[in-house]
Amino acid sequence: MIYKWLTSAVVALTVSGPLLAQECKPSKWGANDEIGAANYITPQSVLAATKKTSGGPRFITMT
Amino acid sequence: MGPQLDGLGHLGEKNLYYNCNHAFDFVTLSGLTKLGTDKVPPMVARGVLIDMARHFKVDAMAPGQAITPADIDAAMKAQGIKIQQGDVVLFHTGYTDARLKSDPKTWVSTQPGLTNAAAAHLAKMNPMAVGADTWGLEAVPPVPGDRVFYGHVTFLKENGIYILETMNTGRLAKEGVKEFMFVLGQARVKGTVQMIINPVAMW
Repeated sequence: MIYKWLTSAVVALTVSGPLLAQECKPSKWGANDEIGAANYITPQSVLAATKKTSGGPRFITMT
Repeated sequence: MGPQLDGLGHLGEKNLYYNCNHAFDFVTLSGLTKLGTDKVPPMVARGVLIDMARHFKVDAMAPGQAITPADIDAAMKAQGIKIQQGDVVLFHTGYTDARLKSDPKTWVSTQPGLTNAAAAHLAKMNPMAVGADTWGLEAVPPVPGDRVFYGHVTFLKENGIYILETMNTGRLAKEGVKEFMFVLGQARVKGTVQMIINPVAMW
């Protein structure tokens, strides 16, 4: 019984391995990345964003 | 109702999430051990508003009305908007302003929004986040041939792009603001898939 179970486990792993590889795309920010597109934030991008205010900035909370 | 941030652990496909994380490895009863919204750094970025209500020449888009790639391109061209890498891209549909109070039943069961192709089109432009003044960004019901909320998979799982929902874009649209500074500091509640937020637009 245990052998039968092991065999099916091996078959399942062999089959699901390549399938999994097709179904997910590793992040361009590395295998351990957890923040995704927040990686686009740089000192330069933040500085550029501040230039979108007019000096006497109007602001709203979008709630 | 308030704005909401969907983190990268919010939605996957077949138990697979952003960066090949499998649900069995990071989803627990007490929360996510990876990809939680508490990991999201302060988001300070250029924001752009694409006024889809203006594009369709209405005050508010209709329930289920689709925003296609061609609609996005046409609206951006007419409104003089170009998406840059790292932008927070917001769509104004007018839907919530028009319906939330007067017709909450319709509001919560349908919404105008992106088609699956529109989500893929936007993802190629490498925004940091995509959002709208609707509760789920995508057209509900979806257009024929589209999968329900598949744009969420495209953004979150495939590209690590955040989703912003129920954003109050009304005043920006009214004042014709196309570009602004977007500021958002997350509440650092550990292991959360989504978070009610207080985003700020400065212009």
